[in-house]
Amino acid sequence: MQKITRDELVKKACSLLENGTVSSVLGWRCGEFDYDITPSVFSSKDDIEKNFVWNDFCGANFSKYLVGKTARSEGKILVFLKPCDTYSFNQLLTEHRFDREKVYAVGIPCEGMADINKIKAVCGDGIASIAFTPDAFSVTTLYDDAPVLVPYADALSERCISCKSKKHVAYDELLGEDGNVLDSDRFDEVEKLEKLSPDERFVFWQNELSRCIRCNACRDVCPACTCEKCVFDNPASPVENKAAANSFEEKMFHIIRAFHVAGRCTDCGECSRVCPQNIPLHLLNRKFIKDINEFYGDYQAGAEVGSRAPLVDYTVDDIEPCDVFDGRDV
Amino acid sequence: MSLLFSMLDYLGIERERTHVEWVSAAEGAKFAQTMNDFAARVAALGENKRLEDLRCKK
Repeated sequence: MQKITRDELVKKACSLLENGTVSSVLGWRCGEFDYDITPSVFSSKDDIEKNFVWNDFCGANFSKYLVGKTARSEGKILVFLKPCDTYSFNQLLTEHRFDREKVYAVGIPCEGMADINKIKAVCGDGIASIAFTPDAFSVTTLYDDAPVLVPYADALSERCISCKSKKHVAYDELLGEDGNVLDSDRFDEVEKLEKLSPDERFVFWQNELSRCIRCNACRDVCPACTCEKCVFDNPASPVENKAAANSFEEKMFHIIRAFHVAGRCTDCGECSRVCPQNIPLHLLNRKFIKDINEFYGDYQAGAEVGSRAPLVDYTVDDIEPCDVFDGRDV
Repeated sequence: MSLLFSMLDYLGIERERTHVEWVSAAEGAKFAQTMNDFAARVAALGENKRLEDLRCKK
Protein backbone atom coordinates (compact mmCIF):
# COMPACT_ATOMS: atom_id res chain seq x y z
CA MET A 1 0.00 0.00 0.00
CA GLN A 2 1.19 3.51 -0.76
CA LYS A 3 2.59 5.51 2.15
CA ILE A 4 1.84 8.90 0.69
CA THR A 5 -1.88 9.56 0.76
CA ARG A 6 -4.26 10.76 -1.88
CA ASP A 7 -5.12 13.75 0.31
CA GLU A 8 -1.53 14.97 0.26
CA LEU A 9 -1.44 14.84 -3.54
CA VAL A 10 -4.83 16.51 -3.88
CA LYS A 11 -3.77 19.27 -1.48
CA LYS A 12 -0.55 19.87 -3.42
CA ALA A 13 -2.37 19.87 -6.79
CA CYS A 14 -5.07 22.25 -5.59
CA SER A 15 -2.64 24.71 -4.03
CA LEU A 16 -0.44 24.83 -7.15
CA LEU A 17 -3.52 25.27 -9.30
CA GLU A 18 -4.92 28.03 -7.10
CA ASN A 19 -1.73 30.05 -6.80
CA GLY A 20 -1.34 29.97 -10.55
CA THR A 21 1.91 27.97 -10.71
CA VAL A 22 0.22 25.50 -13.04
CA SER A 23 -2.85 25.68 -15.23
CA SER A 24 -3.57 21.96 -15.40
CA VAL A 25 -2.75 18.77 -13.57
CA LEU A 26 -1.84 15.41 -15.03
CA GLY A 27 -3.21 12.78 -12.66
CA TRP A 28 -5.10 9.55 -12.33
CA ARG A 29 -8.84 9.18 -12.66
CA CYS A 30 -11.06 6.22 -11.89
CA GLY A 31 -11.84 4.10 -14.92
CA GLU A 32 -14.60 1.60 -15.40
CA PHE A 33 -13.35 -0.60 -12.57
CA ASP A 34 -11.56 0.12 -9.31
CA TYR A 35 -8.38 -1.36 -10.72
CA ASP A 36 -8.68 0.37 -14.06
CA ILE A 37 -7.13 3.76 -13.30
CA THR A 38 -6.77 6.07 -16.26
CA PRO A 39 -4.38 8.98 -16.83
CA SER A 40 -6.30 12.22 -17.12
CA VAL A 41 -5.86 15.99 -17.23
CA PHE A 42 -7.58 17.99 -14.49
CA SER A 43 -8.07 21.72 -14.75
CA SER A 44 -10.35 22.58 -11.85
CA LYS A 45 -10.10 22.23 -8.11
CA ASP A 46 -13.55 20.66 -7.91
CA ASP A 47 -12.65 17.99 -10.42
CA ILE A 48 -9.46 17.14 -8.56
CA GLU A 49 -11.14 16.91 -5.18
CA LYS A 50 -13.89 14.75 -6.55
CA ASN A 51 -12.14 12.50 -9.07
CA PHE A 52 -8.40 12.39 -8.43
CA VAL A 53 -7.25 8.87 -7.58
CA TRP A 54 -4.03 7.66 -6.00
CA ASN A 55 -3.64 4.05 -4.99
CA ASP A 56 -1.81 0.84 -5.88
CA PHE A 57 -3.29 0.77 -9.36
CA CYS A 58 -1.78 4.08 -10.47
CA GLY A 59 0.97 2.37 -12.45
CA ALA A 60 0.75 4.63 -15.49
CA ASN A 61 3.95 6.51 -16.31
CA PHE A 62 3.04 10.10 -17.23
CA SER A 63 6.31 11.13 -18.85
CA LYS A 64 5.18 10.40 -22.38
CA TYR A 65 2.00 12.43 -21.97
CA LEU A 66 4.14 15.53 -21.51
CA VAL A 67 5.22 15.38 -25.16
CA GLY A 68 1.71 16.08 -26.42
CA LYS A 69 0.50 18.15 -23.49
CA THR A 70 3.35 20.67 -23.44
CA ALA A 71 3.20 21.08 -27.22
CA ARG A 72 -0.47 22.03 -27.10
CA SER A 73 -0.82 24.08 -23.92
CA GLU A 74 0.27 27.58 -23.00
CA GLY A 75 0.43 27.25 -19.23
CA LYS A 76 2.43 24.95 -17.02
CA ILE A 77 1.27 21.44 -16.32
CA LEU A 78 1.72 19.68 -13.00
CA VAL A 79 2.88 16.10 -13.27
CA PHE A 80 3.27 13.54 -10.49
CA LEU A 81 6.26 11.29 -11.03
CA LYS A 82 7.08 8.05 -9.28
CA PRO A 83 10.80 7.22 -9.10
CA CYS A 84 10.79 4.99 -12.19
CA ASP A 85 8.83 7.64 -14.13
CA THR A 86 11.58 10.20 -13.51
CA TYR A 87 14.02 8.11 -15.58
CA SER A 88 11.68 8.29 -18.58
CA PHE A 89 11.25 12.01 -17.86
CA ASN A 90 15.01 12.57 -18.08
CA GLN A 91 15.34 10.41 -21.17
CA LEU A 92 12.68 12.43 -22.98
CA LEU A 93 14.42 15.64 -21.93
CA THR A 94 17.69 14.29 -23.29
CA GLU A 95 15.92 13.74 -26.60
CA HIS A 96 14.36 17.24 -26.48
CA ARG A 97 10.88 15.77 -26.69
CA PHE A 98 9.10 18.26 -24.44
CA ASP A 99 9.51 21.73 -23.04
CA ARG A 100 10.85 21.52 -19.48
CA GLU A 101 9.74 25.11 -18.80
CA LYS A 102 6.12 24.09 -19.19
CA VAL A 103 6.29 21.33 -16.62
CA TYR A 104 6.14 21.40 -12.84
CA ALA A 105 7.25 17.96 -11.68
CA VAL A 106 6.36 16.70 -8.23
CA GLY A 107 8.20 13.56 -7.19
CA ILE A 108 6.16 11.13 -5.14
CA PRO A 109 7.42 8.04 -3.36
CA CYS A 110 6.13 4.67 -4.53
CA GLU A 111 5.85 1.44 -2.60
CA GLY A 112 5.29 -0.61 -5.71
CA MET A 113 2.20 -1.06 -7.83
CA ALA A 114 -0.22 -3.97 -7.87
CA ASP A 115 -0.75 -6.37 -10.74
CA ILE A 116 -4.46 -7.00 -11.19
CA ASN A 117 -3.75 -10.37 -12.77
CA LYS A 118 -2.19 -11.57 -9.54
CA ILE A 119 -5.32 -10.50 -7.66
CA LYS A 120 -7.53 -12.20 -10.21
CA ALA A 121 -5.47 -15.35 -9.82
CA VAL A 122 -6.56 -15.46 -6.17
CA CYS A 123 -10.16 -14.34 -6.30
CA GLY A 124 -11.15 -15.02 -9.89
CA ASP A 125 -12.85 -12.76 -12.38
CA GLY A 126 -15.90 -10.57 -11.81
CA ILE A 127 -14.32 -8.07 -9.44
CA ALA A 128 -17.01 -5.65 -8.29
CA SER A 129 -14.94 -3.45 -6.00
CA ILE A 130 -11.58 -3.26 -4.27
CA ALA A 131 -11.06 -1.69 -0.85
CA PHE A 132 -7.80 -1.07 0.99
CA THR A 133 -7.19 -2.50 4.46
CA PRO A 134 -3.88 -1.94 6.31
CA ASP A 135 -2.32 -5.20 5.03
CA ALA A 136 -4.35 -6.39 2.11
CA PHE A 137 -6.70 -5.63 -0.73
CA SER A 138 -10.25 -6.47 0.22
CA VAL A 139 -11.76 -7.68 -3.03
CA THR A 140 -15.48 -8.08 -3.51
CA THR A 141 -16.45 -10.21 -6.47
CA LEU A 142 -19.80 -10.91 -8.03
CA TYR A 143 -19.55 -14.56 -7.06
CA ASP A 144 -18.38 -14.50 -3.42
CA ASP A 145 -20.48 -13.35 -0.49
CA ALA A 146 -17.60 -12.18 1.67
CA PRO A 147 -14.70 -10.03 0.43
CA VAL A 148 -11.49 -11.92 -0.36
CA LEU A 149 -8.32 -10.59 1.26
CA VAL A 150 -5.23 -10.45 -0.97
CA PRO A 151 -2.07 -9.33 0.91
CA TYR A 152 -0.30 -6.39 -0.76
CA ALA A 153 2.95 -8.33 -1.03
CA ASP A 154 1.23 -11.11 -3.00
CA ALA A 155 -0.19 -8.69 -5.55
CA LEU A 156 2.98 -6.69 -6.19
CA SER A 157 3.69 -6.53 -9.92
CA GLU A 158 6.82 -8.22 -11.26
CA ARG A 159 8.42 -4.96 -12.35
CA CYS A 160 8.07 -3.62 -8.80
CA ILE A 161 9.43 -6.77 -7.16
CA SER A 162 12.65 -6.15 -9.09
CA CYS A 163 12.43 -2.36 -8.66
CA LYS A 164 15.65 -0.73 -9.86
CA SER A 165 15.37 2.54 -7.98
CA LYS A 166 13.35 4.36 -5.35
CA LYS A 167 15.38 7.48 -6.06
CA HIS A 168 13.90 10.37 -8.03
CA VAL A 169 16.34 11.58 -10.67
CA ALA A 170 14.26 14.61 -11.68
CA TYR A 171 11.74 16.85 -9.91
CA ASP A 172 10.91 20.43 -9.00
CA GLU A 173 9.56 19.43 -5.66
CA LEU A 174 9.51 16.22 -3.69
CA LEU A 175 6.69 14.97 -1.51
CA GLY A 176 7.73 12.51 1.15
CA GLU A 177 11.20 11.04 1.34
CA ASP A 178 13.54 10.13 -1.49
CA GLY A 179 14.88 6.58 -1.67
CA ASN A 180 18.00 5.00 -3.12
CA VAL A 181 19.01 3.23 -6.30
CA LEU A 182 18.44 -0.43 -5.52
CA ASP A 183 20.58 -3.43 -6.26
CA SER A 184 17.82 -5.28 -8.06
CA ASP A 185 17.83 -8.75 -9.53
CA ARG A 186 16.04 -7.62 -12.66
CA PHE A 187 18.31 -9.56 -15.03
CA ASP A 188 17.72 -12.93 -13.37
CA GLU A 189 14.94 -13.93 -15.73
CA VAL A 190 17.00 -12.94 -18.77
CA GLU A 191 19.86 -15.06 -17.46
CA LYS A 192 17.55 -18.00 -17.00
CA LEU A 193 16.51 -17.75 -20.64
CA GLU A 194 20.09 -17.37 -21.81
CA LYS A 195 20.95 -20.64 -20.12
CA LEU A 196 18.36 -22.54 -22.12
CA SER A 197 19.28 -24.15 -25.42
CA PRO A 198 18.45 -22.21 -28.62
CA ASP A 199 15.62 -24.68 -29.30
CA GLU A 200 14.10 -24.09 -25.88
CA ARG A 201 14.45 -20.35 -26.26
CA PHE A 202 12.75 -20.48 -29.63
CA VAL A 203 9.83 -22.47 -28.21
CA PHE A 204 9.55 -20.06 -25.28
CA TRP A 205 9.39 -16.98 -27.51
CA GLN A 206 7.16 -18.57 -30.10
CA ASN A 207 4.74 -19.44 -27.33
CA GLU A 208 4.80 -15.88 -26.00
CA LEU A 209 4.88 -13.86 -29.21
CA SER A 210 2.30 -15.94 -31.05
CA ARG A 211 -0.28 -14.61 -28.58
CA CYS A 212 0.31 -11.07 -29.82
CA ILE A 213 -2.81 -9.51 -31.32
CA ARG A 214 -0.90 -6.43 -32.57
CA CYS A 215 -3.07 -4.03 -30.60
CA ASN A 216 -0.04 -1.70 -30.44
CA ALA A 217 -0.65 -1.00 -26.73
CA CYS A 218 3.05 -1.61 -25.99
CA ARG A 219 4.00 0.92 -28.62
CA ASP A 220 1.44 3.49 -27.53
CA VAL A 221 2.43 3.39 -23.87
CA CYS A 222 6.20 3.26 -24.29
CA PRO A 223 7.80 6.54 -23.12
CA ALA A 224 10.83 5.87 -25.32
CA CYS A 225 8.65 5.52 -28.41
CA THR A 226 7.25 8.96 -29.12
CA CYS A 227 7.19 9.52 -32.89
CA GLU A 228 3.92 11.14 -33.86
CA LYS A 229 4.00 9.31 -37.16
CA CYS A 230 4.82 5.62 -36.92
CA VAL A 231 5.67 3.17 -39.68
CA PHE A 232 3.22 0.73 -38.13
CA ASP A 233 0.39 3.19 -38.80
CA ASN A 234 1.22 3.79 -42.43
CA PRO A 235 -1.51 2.26 -44.60
CA ALA A 236 0.85 2.26 -47.56
CA SER A 237 3.23 -0.07 -45.75
CA PRO A 238 2.41 -3.75 -45.62
CA VAL A 239 2.89 -3.69 -41.85
CA GLU A 240 0.08 -1.36 -40.78
CA ASN A 241 -2.08 -2.25 -37.75
CA LYS A 242 -2.84 -5.87 -38.32
CA ALA A 243 -2.66 -9.13 -36.50
CA ALA A 244 0.44 -11.08 -37.41
CA ALA A 245 -0.30 -13.49 -40.21
CA ASN A 246 2.71 -15.71 -39.66
CA SER A 247 5.57 -16.34 -37.28
CA PHE A 248 7.84 -13.97 -39.16
CA GLU A 249 5.51 -11.02 -38.67
CA GLU A 250 5.14 -11.73 -34.96
CA LYS A 251 8.86 -11.64 -34.40
CA MET A 252 9.51 -8.81 -36.79
CA PHE A 253 7.25 -6.40 -34.91
CA HIS A 254 8.64 -7.24 -31.50
CA ILE A 255 12.28 -7.29 -32.53
CA ILE A 256 11.86 -3.90 -34.19
CA ARG A 257 9.91 -2.50 -31.26
CA ALA A 258 12.49 -3.55 -28.70
CA PHE A 259 15.45 -2.74 -30.93
CA HIS A 260 14.48 0.82 -31.75
CA VAL A 261 14.27 1.71 -28.06
CA ALA A 262 17.50 -0.11 -27.21
CA GLY A 263 19.80 2.19 -25.26
CA ARG A 264 16.91 4.57 -24.57
CA CYS A 265 14.64 2.16 -22.72
CA THR A 266 14.75 2.97 -19.00
CA ASP A 267 13.13 -0.36 -18.08
CA CYS A 268 9.98 1.22 -16.69
CA GLY A 269 8.03 -1.92 -17.54
CA GLU A 270 4.98 -0.20 -19.02
CA CYS A 271 5.00 -2.46 -22.10
CA SER A 272 4.41 -5.58 -20.04
CA ARG A 273 1.90 -3.84 -17.80
CA VAL A 274 -0.41 -2.85 -20.64
CA CYS A 275 -0.10 -6.02 -22.73
CA PRO A 276 -3.58 -7.56 -22.83
CA GLN A 277 -2.03 -10.91 -23.69
CA ASN A 278 0.45 -10.78 -20.80
CA ILE A 279 3.48 -11.21 -23.01
CA PRO A 280 6.64 -10.51 -20.94
CA LEU A 281 7.86 -7.82 -23.34
CA HIS A 282 10.21 -6.39 -20.74
CA LEU A 283 12.39 -9.48 -21.19
CA LEU A 284 13.26 -8.29 -24.69
CA ASN A 285 14.14 -4.81 -23.46
CA ARG A 286 16.07 -6.13 -20.48
CA LYS A 287 18.11 -8.37 -22.75
CA PHE A 288 19.23 -5.26 -24.64
CA ILE A 289 19.99 -3.41 -21.41
CA LYS A 290 21.95 -6.38 -20.07
CA ASP A 291 23.90 -6.69 -23.33
CA ILE A 292 24.64 -2.97 -23.39
CA ASN A 293 25.96 -3.22 -19.83
CA GLU A 294 28.15 -6.18 -20.80
CA PHE A 295 29.38 -4.84 -24.13
CA TYR A 296 29.84 -1.17 -23.33
CA GLY A 297 29.87 -0.85 -19.54
CA ASP A 298 27.04 -0.17 -17.12
CA TYR A 299 24.56 2.35 -18.43
CA GLN A 300 21.18 3.41 -17.14
CA ALA A 301 19.12 5.39 -19.62
CA GLY A 302 17.55 8.47 -18.04
CA ALA A 303 19.76 8.50 -14.95
CA GLU A 304 20.88 11.95 -16.00
CA VAL A 305 19.88 14.47 -18.65
CA GLY A 306 22.16 14.71 -21.66
CA SER A 307 24.16 11.55 -21.04
CA ARG A 308 25.75 10.10 -24.13
CA ALA A 309 24.27 6.68 -24.72
CA PRO A 310 26.68 3.86 -25.65
CA LEU A 311 24.86 3.19 -28.90
CA VAL A 312 25.52 6.68 -30.24
CA ASP A 313 29.03 6.88 -28.93
CA TYR A 314 31.63 5.06 -31.00
CA THR A 315 34.96 3.96 -29.60
CA VAL A 316 37.59 1.81 -31.31
CA ASP A 317 37.25 -0.72 -28.49
CA ASP A 318 33.59 -1.42 -29.28
CA ILE A 319 32.79 -5.09 -29.57
CA GLU A 320 32.68 -6.55 -33.10
CA PRO A 321 29.44 -8.31 -34.04
CA CYS A 322 31.37 -11.50 -34.81
CA ASP A 323 32.77 -11.55 -31.27
CA VAL A 324 29.38 -11.46 -29.59
CA PHE A 325 29.18 -15.21 -29.13
CA ASP A 326 32.73 -15.70 -27.90
CA GLY A 327 32.67 -17.27 -24.49
CA ARG A 328 29.01 -18.13 -24.68
CA ASP A 329 28.50 -21.85 -24.58
CA VAL A 330 25.00 -22.56 -25.73
CA MET B 1 24.62 -5.06 -34.97
CA SER B 2 26.26 -6.70 -31.97
CA LEU B 3 23.02 -6.20 -30.08
CA LEU B 4 20.90 -7.52 -32.92
CA PHE B 5 22.98 -10.68 -33.27
CA SER B 6 22.71 -11.26 -29.56
CA MET B 7 18.95 -10.65 -29.65
CA LEU B 8 18.38 -13.08 -32.52
CA ASP B 9 20.33 -15.67 -30.57
CA TYR B 10 18.20 -14.89 -27.50
CA LEU B 11 15.07 -15.58 -29.55
CA GLY B 12 16.48 -18.95 -30.53
CA ILE B 13 17.45 -18.11 -34.11
CA GLU B 14 20.47 -20.14 -35.22
CA ARG B 15 23.52 -17.99 -34.64
CA GLU B 16 25.18 -19.37 -37.79
CA ARG B 17 22.73 -17.31 -39.81
CA THR B 18 24.33 -14.05 -38.77
CA HIS B 19 27.75 -12.94 -39.90
CA VAL B 20 29.74 -9.78 -40.40
CA GLU B 21 33.03 -9.51 -42.19
CA TRP B 22 34.95 -6.37 -43.09
CA VAL B 23 36.03 -6.53 -46.72
CA SER B 24 37.79 -3.77 -48.58
CA ALA B 25 36.71 -2.88 -52.11
CA ALA B 26 40.19 -4.00 -53.15
CA GLU B 27 39.75 -7.50 -51.72
CA GLY B 28 37.67 -9.18 -54.43
CA ALA B 29 38.91 -12.66 -53.69
CA LYS B 30 38.18 -12.31 -49.98
CA PHE B 31 34.70 -11.07 -50.76
CA ALA B 32 33.97 -14.04 -53.02
CA GLN B 33 35.36 -16.46 -50.45
CA THR B 34 33.33 -14.89 -47.64
CA MET B 35 30.10 -14.97 -49.62
CA ASN B 36 30.62 -18.55 -50.78
CA ASP B 37 31.45 -19.75 -47.27
CA PHE B 38 28.46 -17.99 -45.77
CA ALA B 39 26.08 -19.20 -48.48
CA ALA B 40 27.28 -22.76 -47.94
CA ARG B 41 26.84 -22.42 -44.19
CA VAL B 42 23.30 -21.10 -44.48
CA ALA B 43 22.37 -23.69 -47.10
CA ALA B 44 23.63 -26.43 -44.79
CA LEU B 45 21.28 -25.18 -42.07
CA GLY B 46 18.35 -25.83 -44.38
CA GLU B 47 15.15 -23.87 -44.65
CA ASN B 48 14.91 -20.88 -42.33
CA LYS B 49 11.83 -22.02 -40.44
CA ARG B 50 12.40 -19.94 -37.34
CA LEU B 51 12.57 -16.61 -39.05
CA GLU B 52 10.67 -17.50 -42.12
CA ASP B 53 9.75 -14.59 -44.29
CA LEU B 54 6.77 -15.63 -46.34
CA ARG B 55 7.42 -12.79 -48.73
CA CYS B 56 10.31 -14.88 -50.00
CA LYS B 57 7.96 -17.70 -50.93
CA LYS B 58 5.77 -15.75 -53.31
